[in-house]
This record gives sequence, structure tokens and C-alpha cells, in this order.
Amino acid sequence: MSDRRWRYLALAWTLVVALLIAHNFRFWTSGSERVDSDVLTLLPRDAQQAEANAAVQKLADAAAQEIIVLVGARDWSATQRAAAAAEQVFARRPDLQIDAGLDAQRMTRMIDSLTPYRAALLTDAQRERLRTASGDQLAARALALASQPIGGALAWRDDPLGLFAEGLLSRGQFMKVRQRDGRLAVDGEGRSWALIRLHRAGPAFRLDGTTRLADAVQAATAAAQRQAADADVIASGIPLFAEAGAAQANFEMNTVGWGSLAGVLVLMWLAFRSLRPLLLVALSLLIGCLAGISACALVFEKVHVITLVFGASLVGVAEDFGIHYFASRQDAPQDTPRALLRAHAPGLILALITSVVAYAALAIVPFPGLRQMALFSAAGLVAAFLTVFCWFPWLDGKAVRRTRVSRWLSGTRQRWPRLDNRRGAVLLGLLTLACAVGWARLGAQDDIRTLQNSPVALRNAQVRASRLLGLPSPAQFILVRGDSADAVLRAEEALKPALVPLVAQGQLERWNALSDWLPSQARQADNIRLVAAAQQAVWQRLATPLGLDAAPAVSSRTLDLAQLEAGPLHDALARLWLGRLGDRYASVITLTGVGPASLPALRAAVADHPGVSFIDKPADISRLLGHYRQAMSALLLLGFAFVFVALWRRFGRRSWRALLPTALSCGLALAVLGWFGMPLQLFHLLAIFLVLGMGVDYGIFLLEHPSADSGAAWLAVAVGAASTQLSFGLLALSQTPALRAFGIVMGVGIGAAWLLSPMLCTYDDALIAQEHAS
Amino acid sequence: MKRLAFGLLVTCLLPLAAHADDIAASVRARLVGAVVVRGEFEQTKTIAGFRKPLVSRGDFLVARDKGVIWQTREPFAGTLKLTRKEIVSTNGDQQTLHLSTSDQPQLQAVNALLFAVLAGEVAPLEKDFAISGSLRGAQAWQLELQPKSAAFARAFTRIVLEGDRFVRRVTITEQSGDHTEIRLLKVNAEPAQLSADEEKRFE
Repeated sequence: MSDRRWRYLALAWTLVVALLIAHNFRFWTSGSERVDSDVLTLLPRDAQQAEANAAVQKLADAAAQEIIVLVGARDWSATQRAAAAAEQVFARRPDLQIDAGLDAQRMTRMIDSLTPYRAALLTDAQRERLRTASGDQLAARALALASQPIGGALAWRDDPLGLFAEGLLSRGQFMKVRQRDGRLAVDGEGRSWALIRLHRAGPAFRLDGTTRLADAVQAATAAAQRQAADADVIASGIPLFAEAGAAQANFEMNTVGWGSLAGVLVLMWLAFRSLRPLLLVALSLLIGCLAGISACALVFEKVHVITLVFGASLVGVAEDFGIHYFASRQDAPQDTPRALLRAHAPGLILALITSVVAYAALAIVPFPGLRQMALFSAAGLVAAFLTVFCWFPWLDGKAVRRTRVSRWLSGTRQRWPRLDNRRGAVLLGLLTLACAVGWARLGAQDDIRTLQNSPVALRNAQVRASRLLGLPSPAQFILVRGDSADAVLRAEEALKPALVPLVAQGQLERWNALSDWLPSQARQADNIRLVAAAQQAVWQRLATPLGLDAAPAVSSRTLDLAQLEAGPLHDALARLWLGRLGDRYASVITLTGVGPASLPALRAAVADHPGVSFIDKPADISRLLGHYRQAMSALLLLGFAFVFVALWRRFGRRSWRALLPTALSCGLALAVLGWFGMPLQLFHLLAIFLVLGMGVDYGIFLLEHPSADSGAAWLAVAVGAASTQLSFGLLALSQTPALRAFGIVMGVGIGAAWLLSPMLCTYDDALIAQEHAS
Repeated sequence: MKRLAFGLLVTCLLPLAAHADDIAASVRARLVGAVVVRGEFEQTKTIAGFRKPLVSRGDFLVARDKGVIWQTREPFAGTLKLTRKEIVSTNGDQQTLHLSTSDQPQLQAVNALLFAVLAGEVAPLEKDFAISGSLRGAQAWQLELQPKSAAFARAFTRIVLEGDRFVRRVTITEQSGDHTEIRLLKVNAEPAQLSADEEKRFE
């Protein structure tokens, strides 16, 4: 390429980098939440389960900012004091708002809003009673009610059978939480608990490793215990989990990132003993990171913390190009940087392509988290490469010294054992045998619960709080769909009789459905008819003895969803009604008291009802993980084929030399899992893709310079592989099981790849000459 | 809620009401403190829209540490049982209402109130009701209770108690204008023990 072209290239890249910097600046200072720590966004978007995903998302969104705090002591007055102290602590925090409880006025408004429709809102038990009771029984009951010295809010005439009050009572009966001395209270575990509901508010979430919410809870606990020595405080809510996850991610991101960078810089110093290579490589890494973040910001609008942790490991991979550049320059000081790059470009580009494609393979799995990781890494690699290609010739001109370490390392290639002789064949045989043993012991595990990594304390708190408050299961529910809101309600009503026996058998404690409060229009009309008939029967018998005036008319007004949503019951029922999902409407029936033994019965109960599905999120995701594990296994073979073809175009018959070490290292990595009894999961398999993509790079570089005297290529590979292994090794220390899986497989795979590559990719000059001739 | 307020009313029958008020103390002095009270009642309820008042008759039994049994004989057979743990209402042979304090904890507050009165500690009563009244003659007295809390106020506006050694008449006026008068007849504090049968009725 001419001088001018190089100049344009450098300028163009400068422009791109300037845009990257500007974009990143704007992204990070925009003030709104830019870092996503929501675990749910990582969950897969199974196309077939779009509605289920939307339902889960909606349920999660409703609770996304809520924190529940339960303060309990054995004595109620002690609890009250402790709760007041805790509230004071929370009130001082700007990022927390205390939600007012359900006060008496709100209750009154709710009841008043339903009163005009009382004839239409019968419970199932009441319907049964009205259908089967005789006129005399009804009259007797009406008379008894009339005789009560103190009536209710409704005059007797308006509700002679007392149905409305009874209905409200039975619907509210399951609520464990009730009003007590102006607080929300619940009893359990031998204590009286006060419930404080908090709402996370205030400035956007910051990824700085602080755990402000957890600190607030701790301070509140201390304050509560000062008031009552035996006070216990339980705090649970999505923000707490998110904060813990972010703090941990922050720690790991720093560990992996700075650790890898330190490793890279130390290795480079040993190899080149000069500041310029260090700075330039660090620059290429920085630009790579900026590009990764920008790409994610553009496509996903937010960056997830797990992407940042994984992306920190990119430091150990993207430096390959810079190191290659400097190793080559060290070896051939007489060549100009541009000439060198031009000569090495094909090899470097091939290496880049295999790595990018390997990362792209991660994006096949519909996990948004993985797709982000793939995009980040691919963009970062490309940007690092372009920095080396476009800028390094301009920024670097002076000679690169040889150092003792670089000379020694380069020299080791000559002494490296070879696999293409007889001794090597034996070694190969032993290796394969060892792998086979490992493979035999390899099992598979797809259960998503093994990937759980939130702190145990938080999980226990959540279980306790759910039990105390009688909360429904967040992971299992029934999704009901229909073409209209009324169709959904009708479907619910059709389903509920199938759930009744499950409650009787103890498989289910209770359910909570929208149709419990709002019957379908058809049922409301039927209810009105029943009430009118019952009232008439009562009046027939009591009119004369009691001297009653004419019977009051039964209101035929029915309640519809729009009115309910506009009224004060909106909040309470919002979690059950999903509204429009795609082209249908949907509601959720929440389930309480579901155990693992109940799942088959629930599935069976739902089976005969069209439009109704039983959603078991953990099981569904686990199934998805298993499905993709198998799919990716097949794809892996395809990947090998693709790489082989790509290599063939460049290296012809020598391609197997580059591919075999990688294949062996993949096998070895899997074998190691088997040896240590770790079951194979999807993430291990995805990491194998990365091993393939990056391990083959070493083969490529060595094949470009197969002579044992070409120490530079070997130096670059060794230093590059060491840094890659270091950064993924650090990733293996992560608390997140998915990232740990990546780290282990990559650590073993890359290590094996760089040890095995020179064994096959080094051969004598005679052979080279022969191949050149042919 | 209506039955709870009714239960509250019933405790006023027990000749134990002691108030911080002068009138309350004086009334207390005039009442016979008793552990068990039995008698008959006649209840006349005037309801809007009923040309004739609704009259019911029956027996009652109040035991200080157990609770209250209110048994109606005419014009229908029904029982109302109030204890510390639950409120049960039966109509004929069918149970029409069963509230336990563990399910409806607000009942506990009212029942606690009930029994606080039984024990003679009426500080809680003082908190929730405005108490006024007068003494008449040597033995008789009259008390008027007006609820302070919104919850009770929805149930009734006023309760008037009249009596001498025992409470003889209770008049309740409701928000809707309906009006109930309960007259207690043949009130007796002997025997002071519950018979075996009576004990069983409280279970």
C-alpha cells in the first residue's frame, strides 16, 4: 500500500476513535441507568415462550423497586418500638422511600367502589349456596340478619342475605397481613412482625462496588435491636439482589481486568524491556474496551455487569495483535513497520476472523447476556486489531530491543518436543487415552439452579419473608390467555374447578386469580339472576310477617375490567392482569404453597384447557439450556469444519498441523471436567468454541513461520497465550458459575493449545523447501 | 363487624364497668359484681322499610372468663357464641358464621376489649368511647357511649345503657337510623358456677 493509503487509514481510524471516546463519554455521563444488573435480562428469550417471558418480565417489573422489611420481636409493643427505630433510619436515606400502608380510608374507598355491583360479585361458595338452599332456609337467614341489633354499612333491604360483606370477608381471609395499631402486621415464627414497605428511589444505580441498600438494612437492624434486644430484621427484594450482584461483579471486573493488565504488562516488559511497546499495547486494549462498550450501548442500550466482567478478560486476548507486531519487529529490525504489517496481515486477519467467529458462536444461543458478551468481545478484538494496523506504524518507529527473556523464549522452540515423530506418536496416544478416560466420566447437568449465585443470606431471607407473608411462588404460575378480557376471565372460571381438588389434596395451598374478584360478564349476569331469585324467595315469605314494603330491585349493573382498573382496587389486582400480550390478552393466576411434588399435578390440571399454560420458569430455562447444549455440540463439529476450510485456503495440506493441537486441547479441556467430576453445561461448551477460535490462532501464527529458527512467532504466541491464560484463569475464580465455567475450560484449553501447537507446527527447513517447491 | 360491636355491647351488661369518669365509677359502685350472669332477653328492632318492628326473644348467658352465649328462640332459632378465640353464629342447625381471632386478628382487639371490661379494666373502653351519663334515684343509672374510632362509628352512633344492680335495658342507634332496644329480664347472678352443660356450650 502506498504511503498515502496508510495515511488515510490512520486518519480514518483516528476519527473512529474520537467518535468512540465521545460516545463513551456521553454514555457514562448520561445520568440514567446505564449498567444493568437485573438478572432477568440474562434469561433466554425463547421465541415459543414469548408470552411467558412477557408475563415473567411484567411480574418482575412490578416488584423491581420494592424492598420488604420485616421487623419482629416476641412482644408486639417491642416490635412497634423496633420498627419505628428502623423506619427512622430508612427515612434518612435519600434513595429509599417508605410506602404508606393500606389505611382505613383506602379500604373504605375500595369497598364503596364495589358496592353498586354487589349482586354481580358472588364467590363460588355463595353461588353454590344460593343454588342449593331452599326458600325457607334463605328466609330464615335473612330474618336472623335483620334481627341483629347492629347492622352493617348497608341497610338490610339492600342486602338481605348479607352476601356482600360475607364475600369481602372470605376473599380477604387469606391475607396474613392485617392492620394493627396503624401498622401492617403479621405473625409467624413465634414473633409479631411489623411490615415496612420500601421503594427504591433517587439517583441512578452506580457500579462502584458500594452496597448502600445493604448498609441501610444493617443500620436499621442495629437501631431496631437497640430498642428491643431480641428484634430480628428480615429484608428482601429485587434491588438487594441486584446490588449484591453488582458489587460482586464490580470486584471481579477489577480483579480480572487489572490482574490481566498487570500480567500482560509484566510479560511484555520481560519480553521487550521498553516502555513504548507496553504503552502502545495498553492503548490498543483501551480502544478495544471502548469499542466493546460502544457496540453494546448501540445495540442493547445498556451494558450488563456480567458483560463487563467477561469483557475484562478480553484484555488477555486482544493484546495478541500488539504483541505479534512487536515480536515481529524485534525479530526483523531492518523492516519498516508498514512492510512488516503488510507481510503479516493475512495471518493476523485470519486469526482475527477465527476469533471473532468463535465469539459470534456465543450469540447463537438466545441468551441476551451471551449476546452482549459476544458483541463486546468481537467489537473489542476488531478495534484492537485496527489500532495495531492503522496506528502502530505511525506511533512506533524505533527499534525494538531483544531481551534475554525474549531470546531464551524464542530459543525454546528449537528444543520443543515434536509430535510428528515416533516418540511424538506415543505421546499422542497417551494423551488420547487420558482424554478418553475423562470423557467417559463426563456427565451433563442442565439445571439452572446450579447456576444460582446470589448470596445465601439474601436467598434465605427471601424464603423466610415469603413464608411469613404467604406470598405466592414467583417462579411458577398459570398463564391464561384469551381473545378478549372477558374470554380470559371465562377461561379462568373454567379452570378453577380443576384446581379445587389440588387444594384438597394439599398439593396447593391456594390460588389467586383475577376472576375471584371480577367474574366474567356471563357469570355476573348469572349471579344477578341468582340473587334476584333468592331475594324474591325471601320477600315472599317475610313480607307479611314483617310488614315489608315492596322488594327493592336488584341492580343489574355489571363490573368490567376498565372500571376496575380505574378504581382503587387497581394496585391490588395489577399483578394479576397482564393486559395485551402480542395479539391476545393474558392474566396470571398466582399459586401459593407449590412444592416440587405438586408440579406434575398442576401440569395435568392445566392440560385440557386451551389457552391456559402452566409456567415453571426454572424448568423451562433448564430445558432450554439442555436443548442448546446439544445443538451447540453439533455446531461445534460444524465449526471445526469451517475452520478447516478457512485454513485450507491459506495453508493447503498443512492445515491439519494447525487444527490438530486445537482439537486435542478441546478434548483435553472436556476430559479435565470429567476427571474432576464437574458435569458438562452449556457454558463449558460455549467456552470450547472460544478455545477453538483462539487456539487455532497459535497454529496459524506458527505455520506462518514454521522454521524452528523463527523465534519471533513463537515468542508472540507464548506471551499472548500466557496472558490469555492468565485472564481466563482469573475468570475461573469468579463467583458466577457461568463465568467460572468459561474460565476453567479456557484456562485448560488455551494452555494445552499453546503447549501442543509448536509440537506440530515446527518442522525442518528441508520439508519447508519441499513444500514450497510443490 | 356488626357482630363484634354487638359482642362489645354485651359486655356492658356485665356489672363491672369501671370508668375513670366519675359517672363511670358511680355506676360501677351501683352494679353487682358477678362472675356469671343469666337471663332472658327481648329485642325489638325498628328498621326502615319494615312497617312492623322485628321482635326476637331468647336467653343469654355471660361468664366472665369464658364469654357470651346469646340464644334466640323466636321467631327463629339461632345462637351467637363469643369467646376469646372465636365468634360463631348458628342459624337453626347450620353454622352461618365462624370467625376466629387467628384468622381475623382485628377481632382480637375487640374481644380483648370485651374481656378488659370483664376484668374491670375499662381503660381501653375509655380510649374508644366518649362516656357520659347520670345517676337516678338511689339505685338506677344511665350511661351513654359514643364511639370515637371511625370503625365503630360506622357500626353505630350511640349506645344507651340503663340499669340498677344489673343492666336492664340497652338501646342502640345505628347510622342508618335503625334502632334496637334490648330488654333484659329475669337477670340472675346465682348460681355463680357454670353447670357442666353450660361449660359445654362454650366449646
